[in-house]
Amino acid sequence: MPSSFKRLIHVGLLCVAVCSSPGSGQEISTITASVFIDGKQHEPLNHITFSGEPRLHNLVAQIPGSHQFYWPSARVCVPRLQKKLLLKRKALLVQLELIAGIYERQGANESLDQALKLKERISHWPLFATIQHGIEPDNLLGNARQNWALTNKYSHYTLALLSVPKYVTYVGLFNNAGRKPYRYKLLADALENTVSFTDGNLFEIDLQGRVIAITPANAWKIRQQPGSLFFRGIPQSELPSGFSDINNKAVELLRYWQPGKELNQTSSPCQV
Amino acid sequence: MSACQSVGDDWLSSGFQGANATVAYWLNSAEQHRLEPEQLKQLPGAAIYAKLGENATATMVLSELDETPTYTVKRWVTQSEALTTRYGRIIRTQGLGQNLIYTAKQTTDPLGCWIQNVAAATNTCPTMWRSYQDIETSNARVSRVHSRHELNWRGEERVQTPLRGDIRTRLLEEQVSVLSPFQSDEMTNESLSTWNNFYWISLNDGVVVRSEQQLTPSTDNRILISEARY
Repeated sequence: MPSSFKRLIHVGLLCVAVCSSPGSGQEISTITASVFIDGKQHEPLNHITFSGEPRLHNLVAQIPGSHQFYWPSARVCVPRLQKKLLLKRKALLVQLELIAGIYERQGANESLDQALKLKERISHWPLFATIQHGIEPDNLLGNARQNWALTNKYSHYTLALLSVPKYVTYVGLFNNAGRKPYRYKLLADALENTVSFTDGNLFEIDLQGRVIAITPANAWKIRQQPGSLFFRGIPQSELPSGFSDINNKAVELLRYWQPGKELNQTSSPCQV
Repeated sequence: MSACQSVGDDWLSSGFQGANATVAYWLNSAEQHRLEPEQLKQLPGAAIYAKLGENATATMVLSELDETPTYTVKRWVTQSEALTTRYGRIIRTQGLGQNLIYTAKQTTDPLGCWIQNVAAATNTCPTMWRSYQDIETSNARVSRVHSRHELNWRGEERVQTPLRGDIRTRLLEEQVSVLSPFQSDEMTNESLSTWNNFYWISLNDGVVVRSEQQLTPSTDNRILISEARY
């Protein structure tokens, strides 16, 4: 059901004040949180206030029915990382522009179209910077490393969470780019034999940010996973000298695709 | 809105430093994971024994309790593993070889109804439930398993517990059928694999004092849970 797929929780944590405790000389920071469900602000949780330095568990524990959500999809965004991510995208778009120029000078019209199409599509990806991919909420109290502190180092935190992924998404140069219902299929079957597995330009990026290069050796062995992204880039053999890593750079951006978002949708804001 | 209630929050969040030596012992010992009754009495809260497949029995402590009028969710932990149960059903695991990362359709799960009506003479709860579970395998791939569950009472049994002694229970049997992943819509009944889960429910207070649950068709993922400290 699309509505349940879209079910997102966004929790924004805003450090609103750093003040001095009278008499103590100690700085006390106040951090507030706001929660969005299904992409919308959740009224009871739109303004949670933490004093001191809350940890991730303090935040998770605020979410009613947290056991019902799909925690591998959790993302924790901060504005500073988001800015860096968007700069990375700009850099990649510039590189694709350069590649397109090379193809144009070579008269390689098909490759030129591919480069321009890829550039255009990447410019619309719903990117969402995150400190980590997925949260394991069940043992946070016993694991200080996973239960990290939300500090005022960042002015604002946003947690995005998906209820359950029911789709996979084809991105990049696929002719049939877009969202498809998840099916229990081999990667080769899922890709419907419309692509070559020998071009070095196919990748799967799963919900936990893990990347697998799809090759003839694994396409017939492993099955697709709910929520995965499939990326088709420019065939490796067609990439101009000096740009051989362009597909990998695109895949690195895709690790920050906001789960649940469709092609051309905008990502959730990191800031209130 | 309900918020999770942390049980023993102080000692858990401080890296177990506040726990007594017994707790530290079983958390760190590779050989001895099953606490004896005298050791259980020293625990600050509830605990269960959990045995996965042929592995040694571990003692897990209750770290969080999320209780609302519509569900009771408990998180049980060791230092590196966690089980989350909803009305006694395992709905998520962490730190095992294969992990259950998601259980769908929890709100229609009739298990809670059966538990609440453990002493009723006639059953008024739904007997069938369909769900799907996402399992993360040992090679870090996620598979979705569609399942059909059928529940039925199987008479009364007495279950021995370490601290509360002999408890009179009613045994609930759940037949689980894994549905064909290619035909997993609501109308499909073709099953690829079948097994039985069991829940021993106290007739006195409705607590699931013992259960045997299998998470996947592999018996390696069969978990036996029993009450250690209530």
